[in-house]
Formats: sequence, C-alpha cells, structure tokens
Amino acid sequence: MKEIVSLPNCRYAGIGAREFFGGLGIEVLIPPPISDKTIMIGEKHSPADVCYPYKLTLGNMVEALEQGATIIFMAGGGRGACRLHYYSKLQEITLKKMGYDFKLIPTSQPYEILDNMRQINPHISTKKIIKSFRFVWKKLKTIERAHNLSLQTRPVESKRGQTTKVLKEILKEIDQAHTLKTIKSIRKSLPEKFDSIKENHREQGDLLKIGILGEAYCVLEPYSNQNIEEKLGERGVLVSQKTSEAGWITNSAKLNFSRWWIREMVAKRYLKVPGGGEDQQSVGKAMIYGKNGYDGLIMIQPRTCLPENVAQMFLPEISQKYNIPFLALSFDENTSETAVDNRLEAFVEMIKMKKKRNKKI
Amino acid sequence: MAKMKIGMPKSLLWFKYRVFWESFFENLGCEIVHSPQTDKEIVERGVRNSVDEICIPVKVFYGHCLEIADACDYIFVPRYWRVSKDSITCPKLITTADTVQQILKERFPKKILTTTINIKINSLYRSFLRLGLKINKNPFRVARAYRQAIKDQREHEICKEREFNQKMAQPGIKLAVIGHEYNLFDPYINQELIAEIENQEVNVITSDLVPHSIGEESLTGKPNIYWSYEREIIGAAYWALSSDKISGVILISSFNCGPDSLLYEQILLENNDKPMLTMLLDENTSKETIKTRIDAFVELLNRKVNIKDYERDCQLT
Repeated sequence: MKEIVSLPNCRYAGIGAREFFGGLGIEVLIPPPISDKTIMIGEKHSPADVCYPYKLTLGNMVEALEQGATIIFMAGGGRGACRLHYYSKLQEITLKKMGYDFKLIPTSQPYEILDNMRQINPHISTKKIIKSFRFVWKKLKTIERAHNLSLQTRPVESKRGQTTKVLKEILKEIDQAHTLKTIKSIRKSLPEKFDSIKENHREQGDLLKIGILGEAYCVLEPYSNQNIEEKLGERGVLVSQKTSEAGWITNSAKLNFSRWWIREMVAKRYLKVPGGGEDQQSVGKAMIYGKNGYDGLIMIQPRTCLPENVAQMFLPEISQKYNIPFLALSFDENTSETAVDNRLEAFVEMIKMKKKRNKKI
Repeated sequence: MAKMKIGMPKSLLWFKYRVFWESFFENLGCEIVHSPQTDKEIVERGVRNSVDEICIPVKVFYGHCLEIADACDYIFVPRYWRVSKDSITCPKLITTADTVQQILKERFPKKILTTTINIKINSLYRSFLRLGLKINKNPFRVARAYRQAIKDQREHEICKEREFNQKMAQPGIKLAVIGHEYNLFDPYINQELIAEIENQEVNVITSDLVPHSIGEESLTGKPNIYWSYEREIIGAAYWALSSDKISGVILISSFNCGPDSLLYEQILLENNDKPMLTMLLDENTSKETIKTRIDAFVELLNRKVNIKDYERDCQLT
C-alpha cells in the first residue's frame, strides 16, 4: 500500500508541506481549507471546553482521512505546559475510536523531521531532505514577505479587494514554482506588484496603526479569527502582525533571536517565569508596540486559552503605562461574526477619535 | 521582636502542601495567618480582579490574597514550576505569583514572598533554603526547619495511606471522587459535594488518598501526561476504572480548566462499563443542582449493585 502524507491546515502551511514532501517523492494530500464543515465535524468529536484549534485540527484531520490519507503530521508532542502538546495524543485515541486506520506523527522540532522521514521511507538520503527543506524555507520566507506587504498595501489600495486578489495570485505562483530561480524572481517583483495598486495621493503616515498579538494558530488561520486582518485593513488601519509559519519553524528549532529577546529582556519585567505557550511573547509584544507609538492593540485568543489568559492579566497595566488602548477578543465556534464586527468598528472609531484629540492639543 | 506574620491564602496549592509549608514557617519562628473560609464576598472580590475566562479556583485565590493582605507582613505564593524532572504544572499555577503581584501592586507593593521550585535547576531543598534565608539569617536553623517540615509531610502522607487502606477494607458501596484538591476540599467551590455524597451512606475515596505508586502503576502503557498534578489525578482515575472494589467514579473539574478538559475526555473514551459522572464547577454552581445529580447517581448505583447481587443469587440457585 502506498503511503499518503497529510497534515491539518494552518494558513499557508499547506503550500510548504506540499513542496517539502513532493520534492522528496512522497505522495502528499493537503486537506481542503478550513470551513464550516470542518468545525462541524471537529465539534462533534471533541470535549466541550477544549480550545478552538483542537476542534479545527481534528475536523481537518477527519477531512484528510476521508480523502485517503494514511499518515498525518501534527504539531506538538513535546513537553510544554500548554495544551497543544497533548492534542496529538487525544486526537489519535479519538480517531482510532472512530474507526480510521492511520499513523499520527507528532513533530515538535524540525530536528525530528529527519527521523520521521526515515519512518516513512528509509531510502531517502539526508542530503535530499536538507535540500528540500532549504527550498521550502525560501518559499515560506517569500510568502511571509508577500503577506506583510499586503498588510501595508490594503489600507491604501485604490479599489476595495484588490490587494487580496493580488495576494492570491502571488500565492498561486509561489505554489507552482519549483526552482530557486523562479522564487527569486517572484520575490523581486513583489514590491512592484503591490505598488501598482496603491492609491497615489495617500500617505501611510496618517494611518492608524494597530498591533496584533496572541495565540499563534488563531492569529495565523484566517477562518479562526474571522479574517480580522482583512477587516481592519479595509477600514483603513495599518495592521502589524509578527507571527508567521517561518517564524514558527525557527522558534521550534530554538533559533529565533527576536523571540529570545522578548522572552529574556522585555517580558521578564512582568512575567518572571514562562507559563508555556505564548504568554511572555504576548506581554513582550504589547510592550514593544506600546513603546513604538502604536495606536491600539488587539489580542486574539481561542476561548479558555491558558497562557493567553495569564498574559491578559497584564494588559491593563501595560495599556495604562504606554497609553495604548487594547481589545481582547476570544474566538470559538459560537463567536458571532456581527459581534466581532461591531466591536472592531467601535474600537477603531475610538482610537481614531483619540488620535485626533491628541493632535489638537 | 514581634513575630513575622506570614499570610496563607486557603486556596489552590495550600490544600496540597499545607502541612509542609506551615511546619516550615512555624519552625522558623513565624506566625501563620490563615485567610477565612471561602465565602461569597471573597469570590466576588476575586472575580472582579481577574480575567473573566480564568477558572474559578484561581479567581478564588485572588480573592483570598486581597482578603488577607491587610492582616499580615507577607503573603506566601510560591511558583511551583517543575516538581519532578519530566513534568510541569499548569500555566496558571506557575504564574500565580506574578499575577497576584499585579493585582496587589497599587495597595500593597512588596507583599509577596515567593520562591521558584524548578527541579531541573534547583533541588527543593535549595529553593526553600533560599526562601528561609530571607526570613532568618541563620542557615542551620533554616536547614533544620526544612528537615522537620519534610518529616511532618511524610507523616501526613503515611496517615493518608492508612486512611486509604482503612476505607478500602470497609464494606458497602465505594465511590471514587477524582479531582484537584482545591476543588474537592473547598466547600464553597464544590458546594459541600463530599459531605453530600457521604450523606448517602457510601464510602468516598478521594483521588488524593490514592497512593502515588498505585497511580503511577496504572498509567503504564498510556500516553505520557506531562502535567504533574494531572498525572496523579488521572493515575487515580485509571486505578478506579480497573479496580473491582470501586462501583462508580465521579470526575470533578472546574469550568475552563485546561488539562482536565482533555484528560477527562480521554478517561471517558477509555471507560468500558463503569458508571461515571462528570461535574463542572463554576461560580454559579448551585447546591440544588449538585444535590439532585448526586442523588440520582447514587440511586442508580444502588440499583445496579442490587441487580448484580440478584443475578448472582439466581445463578447460584
């Protein structure tokens, strides 16, 4: 029987996985993007007050298994205090009970990939794995750059929805690229493409700036945060968001300097010991956004997230100290889109007024 | 010189380590000030000062700290981070010292007395030696206080084991009640649940009575649980599932408890035919709900045991 590898979706992770496994000659299946159907399946088979990413990844796994996947890769499986590392264990029990025959490989560090690949196919050479990994890394970096440019362009685009369209085209191009040369040329053409859809007379200096922080999965996956970046961008807000798939890889390989800096130098003022997850990152990012003169903070978390709840305790203090308003949003399958829209609109109006008042004085 | 007053909030880990902590501070010549029993006012105070999604025991803990802050010199809030080499405690427990500091900052700066327990870096002895030296300058006295405290703690554990054996030897229906100590023994959080069950004339075996070795033994072959306190509880739960003497299991968890939400599901999935009841506690739990559910559960258990006896009698005759 031929092995088909799959993994639950998380924003652009599918593009990276398709290239990585495809380059090694392993058949790979990327499940459909997360939708209402995914959460319906996930919710049915998971405990009631577990966090949102668990339900989404479980639903996505079922979708992949229905299409014929035999091996599933899942993040976590290490020893953090956060619930993420226990996901794969319970998901395996649940799915086996549902009658699927498959293998679940939890991967908490990129170093483990080498071993995991050997489990699937013992004949793959180390050189090939490293080469493939390097190419994927380049791809993810290009995607990160394109995404960041789109965040900067969206508030000043000349026609609504154009940025999203251009971004989609670029992603498609990147997905189809298979040589380093094409990736390089795509990367070079990025600023030009986004500049062409900008409105000429508007300057970025006047725009409202909002920093987004919070739990990684909910920040990344647009379905889970109800497309918050796009909504804010279309209201004319410059969104800054520093989490990305490439950053996640460097972090789990313990090579991410900026995260180390935040953990050791910035967040120690409030949180002396890490409580697992992203709590110190959230606290540190909030302080950095405050220092850099941002107009507002939005914290995104799945409902009942343990580390983010801890981080949220410190936000009122940080908000007072740096004079920066914050909005904490928690998401789960019952969060209504209208409620989120209303809160976002009120928040944006409020910081707009605050900025105007400060200018007059 | 007046004795130093150490405040002990009667909440969270106090239920687990009370003998050890109190013996340690008393041997150092400190006076211990307890917070009162949890009541409505304390809960409301805690709820007002915390994030709304945090679980009830942590909210209650904040309430206790605010209540006790006036009456003592220091409040003892340790950071229990890693109590064994390959496990970690819950994120909320690790960071309580920092968050409480945040709440008390305006009115009482420098009121928190803390020490970090991380077995990977420092042994328990060194962590407490460092803490003791803040109170008493004499290291020999601190070391003696620590040894005495360890001895008292061990005696307490032996007492518990004896109680466990005694309870197991008694006749009648036995119910295992699984949950964290701070949920089981705080009569306000659980609305006197334990007393309610005991009123029904059943023997209650709480998960803290189950010896550590039995719990660890029943966890072999199961996925590795890396939360220390959950490990003990789930070990006890697995033991209860496999033991013939236990006729029913009650799982108690507080609403929004992170690790419990996953692990109780695991137990429910792996349970075959043992009667089981899951209860979620929060600040709106009423006494009547608990009473009704316990009544119904015990009634069903009684009926099941009676039917089993009847069937056995039929087979014999």
